[in-house]
Amino acid sequence: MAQKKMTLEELRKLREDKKHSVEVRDTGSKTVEITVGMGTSGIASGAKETLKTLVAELEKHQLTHVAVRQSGGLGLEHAEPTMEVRMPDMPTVIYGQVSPEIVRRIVSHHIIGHELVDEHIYDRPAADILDAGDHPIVDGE
Amino acid sequence: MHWTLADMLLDLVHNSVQANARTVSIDMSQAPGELTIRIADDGKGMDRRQRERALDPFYSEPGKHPGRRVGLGLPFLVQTVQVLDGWYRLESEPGAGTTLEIGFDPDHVDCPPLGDLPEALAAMFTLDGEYELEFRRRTDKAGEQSEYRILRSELRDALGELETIESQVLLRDFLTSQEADPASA
Repeated sequence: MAQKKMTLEELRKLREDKKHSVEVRDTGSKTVEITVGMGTSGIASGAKETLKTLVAELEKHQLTHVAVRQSGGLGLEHAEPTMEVRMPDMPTVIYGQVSPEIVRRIVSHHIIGHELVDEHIYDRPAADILDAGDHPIVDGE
Repeated sequence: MHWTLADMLLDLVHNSVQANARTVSIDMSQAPGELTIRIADDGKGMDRRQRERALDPFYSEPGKHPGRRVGLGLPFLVQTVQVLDGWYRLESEPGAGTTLEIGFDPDHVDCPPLGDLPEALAAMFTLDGEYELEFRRRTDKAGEQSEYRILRSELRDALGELETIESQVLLRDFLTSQEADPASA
């Protein structure tokens, strides 16, 4: 049977229903921001699949405190698809070669487990982390 | 590199938003033997020299980010249209925006697949920035006509913030349903 076309009103109602049924997690009211590079190179390298998998994983784990954004390229065309992750108490990093499998690892390890996926980091941590000098990346691990 | 038509559309919308467009409109019309796409924006536009350079794959407009050496979106699109024996028209003036129209036979043996249009649309509607995006799709298949139109402002009105996961999931369901049902609502 063909899927029925959803109207805007139905979409609005679904949104209202979802808002009331999702439990708000206590995350200290801080928001995680994930930016997927969606420039020409990114799109050609599969960034749409990266984004699609990211949304599915975040929804599966009910990570409602995460905002998903897109940018043009993040400056690392050789490492597309790329994804920047900003979250409290963790260094801001840009991951590269982010296939759907790596998306799942980033969600489970970085977002949920607060552990960096080191082998896919393509850009340095934020300056304050470097200044602190006690992060595993700084120590060359 | 394998491209789909959906990927190319996404790339063009990116260009428009990066050109500071406040309004972008896409009109995709398909009838037997011809697919035409028109994308128009009110971004900063290009003068003649910039239009010529925009079609050069080894040129990228300065300022996008340091180290960028290529700008492949438009050149690849034009190359694709030419391979399909199609046509294109690029009009742009500084301060007056840009309009790109292309047309070709979607049944041509070398025509790229449409691809995941709902996913590409989801990406187009959730780019960073304040802009209105109108997407209109018309199809005429064996005499059966269908049409749908989506406005970013209407989606934001229905969903609130588009960056949240709940909104992103519902947005994809909504967009997929527009494509799945050939009859108008």
